[in-house]
Amino acid sequence: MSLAKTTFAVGPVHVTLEPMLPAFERRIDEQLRIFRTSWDESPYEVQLNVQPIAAPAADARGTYLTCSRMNVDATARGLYATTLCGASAQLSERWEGGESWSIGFPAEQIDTPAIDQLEDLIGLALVSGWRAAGWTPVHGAAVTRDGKCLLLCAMSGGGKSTLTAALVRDGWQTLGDDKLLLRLGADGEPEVAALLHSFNLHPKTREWFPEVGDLELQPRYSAWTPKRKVYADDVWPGRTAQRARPTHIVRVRRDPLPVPIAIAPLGYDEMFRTLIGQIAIPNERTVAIAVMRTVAQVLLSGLRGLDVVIGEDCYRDPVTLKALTAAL
Amino acid sequence: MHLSQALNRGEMLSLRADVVATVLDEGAVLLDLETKYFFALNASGWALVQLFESGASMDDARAYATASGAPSDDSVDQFLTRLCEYALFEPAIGHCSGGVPDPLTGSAWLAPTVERQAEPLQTVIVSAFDPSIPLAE
Repeated sequence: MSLAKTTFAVGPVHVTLEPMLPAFERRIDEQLRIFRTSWDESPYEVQLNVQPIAAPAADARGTYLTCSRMNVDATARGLYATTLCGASAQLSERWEGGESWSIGFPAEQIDTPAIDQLEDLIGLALVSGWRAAGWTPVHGAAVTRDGKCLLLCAMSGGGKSTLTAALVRDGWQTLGDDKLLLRLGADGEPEVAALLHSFNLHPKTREWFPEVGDLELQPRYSAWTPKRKVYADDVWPGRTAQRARPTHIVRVRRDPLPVPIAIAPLGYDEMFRTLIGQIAIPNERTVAIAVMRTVAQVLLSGLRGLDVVIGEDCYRDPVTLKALTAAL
Repeated sequence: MHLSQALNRGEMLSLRADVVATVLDEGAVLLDLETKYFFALNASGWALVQLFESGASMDDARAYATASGAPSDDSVDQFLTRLCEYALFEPAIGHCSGGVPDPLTGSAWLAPTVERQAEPLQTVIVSAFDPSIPLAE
């Protein structure tokens, strides 16, 4: 058992780990050490106390949120979540500027692949903390250059990372290819912030961007995907940004088109649907209203929308990105 | 059908508690947290829906529309019937009409519209952060 508390800066949230078993600490360290961005504002504190439990926890039903490996309920005590292996997380206390979570993990599962399910519970605590700190988590990518900032929206596997990498090669700065935070600033203007400056790239990407190297030699970052994690500064130094004001919503889709890229304007309703579709919305009124209000206000600030369909093998042709930047 | 019949019988209905709204430039968007469908309302539609936040009847809605300059047609009835079909209302048990608020001003009354998005948000998602459809493991 580690006796010291460990802390991680994860965007606007500072995570403190209470002393815990090394197996838990290693797994959480893997998840949190990749967040390398800097924040000036006072952090919101999230305390995690992870302990082994003798038996699987009572199942949550998913009345607040239903995820593939985790159900979350809103209870009188606060959020309560369980995963497939019987691990649980309970929001145990909340105070001005912070909250604490009690996480139980079945002792008999610690040395099995089920340990990965800690990631779901820690992720829930992070999202809770980010929201409490005034930010809306967005599953999207963002790039910025010359006063423009594109929010690239697509489902998992939809092409966000590859398009982000292509734009970074072309001189744009990235705020991330997967995890962003969004809020309305004190001046009422929308602001997007980076959480981590890494790319999750498929090994095939090397065919278009040889400087990423042989990604097959690197470990997979998840059993779910063949993608590898690549840090932007390792490949394209200086091409990262911390904050930007979004100017465009770009809906990205893949399609085996005979042309490299197809671009069309996106109407207001489609922009709303696109951006809100990148945000996990629980079955809880106050959170849902806050998310919808943020998205509506962001769009009312005058963003433009583009629908971008990426053709197969489009990145071989430099015309692809020229067409996109010309449409902005 | 049950709800629209109740509406036509003059009973009070209210917007369901798990339907949330946000105001847009012109009109509003509703999100049904149970089905995860979005509904886009124009300004007249949103004005009518607000009557039902605290409970209202068909007569209340008609009176409000007339006071706001609506022509005497069945557009309000059709609009509210659509909302009933989408199950956005529930019986307003214990509510009583709050009376008809001040009519809509600042823009001409248009026939109220509600448009349901073709696809709902995913009900089962990857994680608390990622709203994507989970991939098979």
